[in-house]
Amino acid sequence: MIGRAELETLVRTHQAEIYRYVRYLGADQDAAEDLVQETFLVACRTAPAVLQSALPERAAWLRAVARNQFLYWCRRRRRGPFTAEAAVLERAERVWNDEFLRQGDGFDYVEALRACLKQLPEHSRGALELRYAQGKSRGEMAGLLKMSEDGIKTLLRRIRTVLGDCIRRRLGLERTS
Amino acid sequence: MSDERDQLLEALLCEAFGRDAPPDLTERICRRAYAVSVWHNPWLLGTALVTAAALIAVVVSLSLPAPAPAPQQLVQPSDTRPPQQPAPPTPGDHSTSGEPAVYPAPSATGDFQVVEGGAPRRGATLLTGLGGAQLHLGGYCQVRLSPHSRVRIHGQEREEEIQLQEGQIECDVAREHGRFAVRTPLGKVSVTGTSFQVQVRKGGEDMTRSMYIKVLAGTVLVASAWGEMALAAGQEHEQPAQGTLTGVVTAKTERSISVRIDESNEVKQFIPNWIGGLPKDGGGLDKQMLHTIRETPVGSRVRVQWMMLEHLRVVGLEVLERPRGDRPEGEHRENTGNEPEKKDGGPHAVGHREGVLVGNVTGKGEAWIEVQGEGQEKPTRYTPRWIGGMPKDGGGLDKHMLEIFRGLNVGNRIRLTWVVDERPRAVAIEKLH
Repeated sequence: MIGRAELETLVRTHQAEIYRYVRYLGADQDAAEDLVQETFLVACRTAPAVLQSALPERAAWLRAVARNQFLYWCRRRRRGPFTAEAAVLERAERVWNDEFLRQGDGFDYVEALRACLKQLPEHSRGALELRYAQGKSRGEMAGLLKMSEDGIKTLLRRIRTVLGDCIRRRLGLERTS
Repeated sequence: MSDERDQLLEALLCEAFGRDAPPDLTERICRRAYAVSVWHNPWLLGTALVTAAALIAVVVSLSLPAPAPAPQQLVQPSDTRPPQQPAPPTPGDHSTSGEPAVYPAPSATGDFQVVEGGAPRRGATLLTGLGGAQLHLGGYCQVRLSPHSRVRIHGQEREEEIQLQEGQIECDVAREHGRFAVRTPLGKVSVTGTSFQVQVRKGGEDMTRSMYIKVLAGTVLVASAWGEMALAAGQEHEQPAQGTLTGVVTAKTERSISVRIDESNEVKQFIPNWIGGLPKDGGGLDKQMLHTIRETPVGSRVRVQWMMLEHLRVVGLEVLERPRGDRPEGEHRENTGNEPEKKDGGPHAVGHREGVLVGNVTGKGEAWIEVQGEGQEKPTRYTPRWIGGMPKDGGGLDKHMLEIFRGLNVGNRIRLTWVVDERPRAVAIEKLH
């Protein structure tokens, strides 16, 4: 078991990424907090040698633990076992590692996202603000924007596709994807 | 787009729009970690109690002349082992068993060099290589330096401070052991016990540098010439580059002013700040500044307060000295160097534009000159005005101006007053040095 100060340092360094990661995998906010806690408790109790290694290796190990915790959480929520999810999570990890982190900490990706958001036309930004800043549901957005719910779903997906393409162009990911 | 990429963007958009900042779970996790581990592990529970008792015994024996109290029941009466040693000092913990603690000197590991030579120390500058480095301050500040970062170590015991000159750092600070601050050329980030990143982003020139702060956990206080603000976990902030300069106005348009900067002799174009939200909500360029620009003659010596926010912005403009022979700025003047607007009913009709610029002659012909105005991307061709009516009635190009054209050479620096009348026309020319 690792010491308290070491655990605090570990948590402070990695908790934001792990929280972001489990939210990306699909956990809601409350579950994400629990999953982050469980991830670090596993790290604390098992205290593997990887915790002494460089930051990227530590982060990768913590993400693997978080993925397993997420899988357990998914299975506890449903009635039967699910064997397909592990493969889905592996794919998710590849996208996270290869496109978001890119041997860094995701800083460049977040920067690219901020820059691409600024380039969006006004109506697209407005739709994103309704959804992600104000937390409007698709139904509420449909009422406000005088569209159908399916139309809202398509609109948001289209905007995210535009953002995704913009980000990949900025990061030079087109050739590798 | 794949589902995973879409999900990634969903998650990041929630955070980018402020609804899902990663929370600080440090205390909760630590409480759970040590509470669970002790109460669920009898061996550890016993060890913890024995350790606590031994520590109490040691402290009491140091502070009182009376003998220390007997150990707890959990220790076997026949156990003659000495009391368990206290845990090794943790970073920042300087209270070992009774001996005065030595405050650790700055130290670093990884790929770096000390610019001044020698070991890392207060006053020294560290420059990291491709591998990055770690800087350890006071035993309670861990600073990870990204590759190609430049950091100077300042501060003193319990008030550690570094100056980030270039690059990016990530900091972890144990709040209970002291204070920590990061200075950059654009402001100071004070720590209240947290984990955060600071980056000094450098554009192509000094005027495009900015300071970017992202808080990973806890809070930081950002102080700059623009005031103070607190950032919480998950929040980020970009502090734009800003400053004050003096120079001479070389050109202006309805929305911008170009200034030759005294210090660098470069010409930079500034636009006013954007005030308010979207145009449909009444947002737009700062009207007060637009008016000030209109009232400032080309050729004036000015003091400009600026900031870098996507473009160079003028946030303060003061005329120090008006140009010689300054004409009253009674009417709005423009200088775009663009293609002329279509004439609408005569030389004084609505749609005509005029202005004054300073620039160099880049070409000339019999009846034209080409001038590259300062701050303009490409040169513009100017002809004299047409004076009089039809040629059969004696009308023709302004002969006086044609004479001036003939006296100019390529490379001459001139102040040109122009007007758009079907095409850009030279109205007055003053040869500068």
